[in-house]
Amino acid sequence: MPEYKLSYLPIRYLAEPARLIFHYAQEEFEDEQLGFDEWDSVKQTSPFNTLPLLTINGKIQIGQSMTIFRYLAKQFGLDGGTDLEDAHINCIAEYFREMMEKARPFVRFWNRGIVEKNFEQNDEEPEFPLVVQQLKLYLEPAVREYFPVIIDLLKKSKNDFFADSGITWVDFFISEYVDSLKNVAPELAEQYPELLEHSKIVHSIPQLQNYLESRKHTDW
Amino acid sequence: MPKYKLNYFDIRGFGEIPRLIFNYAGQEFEDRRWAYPDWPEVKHESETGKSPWLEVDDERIYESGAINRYLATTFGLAGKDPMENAQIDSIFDIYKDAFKEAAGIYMWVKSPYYNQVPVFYHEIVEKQYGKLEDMKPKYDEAIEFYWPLVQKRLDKSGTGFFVSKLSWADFFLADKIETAMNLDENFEKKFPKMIEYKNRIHSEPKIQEYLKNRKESFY
Repeated sequence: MPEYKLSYLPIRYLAEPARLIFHYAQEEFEDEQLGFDEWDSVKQTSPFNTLPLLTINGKIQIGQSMTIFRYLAKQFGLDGGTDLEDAHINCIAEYFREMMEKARPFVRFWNRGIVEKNFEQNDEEPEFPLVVQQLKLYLEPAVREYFPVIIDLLKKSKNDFFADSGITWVDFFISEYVDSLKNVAPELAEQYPELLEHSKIVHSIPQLQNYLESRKHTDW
Repeated sequence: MPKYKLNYFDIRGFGEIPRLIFNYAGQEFEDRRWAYPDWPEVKHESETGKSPWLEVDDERIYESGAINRYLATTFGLAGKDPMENAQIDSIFDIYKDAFKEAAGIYMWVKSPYYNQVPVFYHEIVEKQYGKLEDMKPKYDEAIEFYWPLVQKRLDKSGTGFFVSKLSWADFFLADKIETAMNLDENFEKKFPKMIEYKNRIHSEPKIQEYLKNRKESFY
């Protein structure tokens, strides 16, 4: 069995789907969580200057979160049942990732207080504190545009998951983000009950319970 | 006489002083106002992306301080010399500094405008800044810092005005006292002399008509 090490920050955001895949598959892995201030050292060792990073047998490095998810999913049967189904769930995932990129400045602000260079205080409404301006400019429009489409795609499936054949990594990927939204803006998340329901189902899967019970809460 | 047009939100905020000055001077002006939700459409008209701005024929002035000074100079509400003008500018800038951030957010959360935004804005504000009770100390701190400073200068002046005679500083301070009263029912008890001062300034005959007819504004 290969030795896996997953390196990321002490948040869920771009690594949790991978962690869930490992726990679902009951596969051992090293869950390395680097501090935000250790970021600089990572830049020297990560081939893409980013995290997360999957290291296999101490030598092979795979970067880019979506690639890590797809690779692990393939190893542990959490990818699409056929090539076509795989393409279908990948479309959904890429579309969702697009939304995540648009909302990213809000997450960076929330987690680290970082404000985009071209963002001007009071850009939107003079009375609103910075966090509301960030929400209004980055997170809310992204959610409003993309969530309805994601819900439509979910409804078209023959079961509770995005793929007709059953649960895949994309269910982990999307439900984790929906949970993050619920942490930060519950009333906004509640406007998308289908996704909340989907997340509840995904997070009720028996194979994940041990991990979820002991997992530390993080907003994102 | 040039054509004057003030452009600001439909609140007192940092737009009320020009309105008071124009009314004091008996000068006609266009008092353009918009509601908060309409701001995104109006914003692009402002070269700085901010308001208020004052149009004087085909010229524009941005920044409320600059507008106030310009109108005060034009209509006889400036200080009598550079030092008086500096003191006026100073107390104006100190206010802006003292009431931003947590104190400023407290004011917004306590205002009726807060209920005009979606609930999840409230949720996120609470997560970042806590509840109203958590923010209040910062606001109280700002109040305890600012108004004694003002009182000190009023005592030094001894004229009943901020400087040697009525100036835009008096209009500004009276306006902010009104806001302070809206935000804290105990303000009157804490600073009774400020209430007296405000009432005196607001009894200025030339602004009576305007004050009587103007719409209520929380801040």
